[in-house]
Amino acid sequence: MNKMEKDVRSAQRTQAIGVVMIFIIVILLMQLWLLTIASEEFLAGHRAMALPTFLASAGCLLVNLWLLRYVNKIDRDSGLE
Amino acid sequence: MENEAKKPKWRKDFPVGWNDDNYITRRDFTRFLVLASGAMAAGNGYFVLRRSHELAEDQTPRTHIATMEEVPVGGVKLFRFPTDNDPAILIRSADGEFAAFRQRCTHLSCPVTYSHGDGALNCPCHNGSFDAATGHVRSGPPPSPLPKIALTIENGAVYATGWEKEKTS
Repeated sequence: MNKMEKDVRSAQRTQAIGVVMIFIIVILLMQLWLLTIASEEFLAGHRAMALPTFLASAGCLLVNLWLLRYVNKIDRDSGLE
Repeated sequence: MENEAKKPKWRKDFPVGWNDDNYITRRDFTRFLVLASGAMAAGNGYFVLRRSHELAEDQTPRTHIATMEEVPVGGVKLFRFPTDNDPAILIRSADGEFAAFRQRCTHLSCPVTYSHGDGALNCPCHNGSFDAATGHVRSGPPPSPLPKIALTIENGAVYATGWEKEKTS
């Protein structure tokens, strides 16, 4: 693999990680919103939203972990880990 | 590599691969974001635990609050229910009926006080007002009714037996 190919691969990796990072940030903002809902409902004395918001947040965490696995895979493929 | 000779000496001594550096930083930041995501999920889990804890509290055994003579018409008695950390208020209205509520305003948890003249429980912090018979919001910022405590009266004594349905609505 010559230098130009290496640079292109490196740029592609950086771009892929950037895209994954944006996905994770969007999901994280959704989780922040879910936490805000659960907190407000709790302070208002309601209990019904606690479990659904937790399940949704746990689902978001699983998606984020899956995306992190993808990042780790890029690392392994590029020999960084 | 052909520019290697043109680099200043300090660059040769401390080489920095800028592309790799940016790449590693983004990768680590991504891992930090996932860690934050776990913290968010744990935060939501905390509310589930609190909910199950409070459901267990709802099954409290009945608690003696006062004798009927202790609370005159228009009077109140403060007590703790279901735990020592939960202030509550027992009210005897003008028609002699008893009602009891959690004493924390549903807006920001300030203690509410009974106003016999207008039959209301008032919150002094932001002028919230609740109906002293039902606990429903009359005015102000509270988003939900005051949780009402179920009472039974036996042999001239008033007992708290749990929560009425509004609490979980």
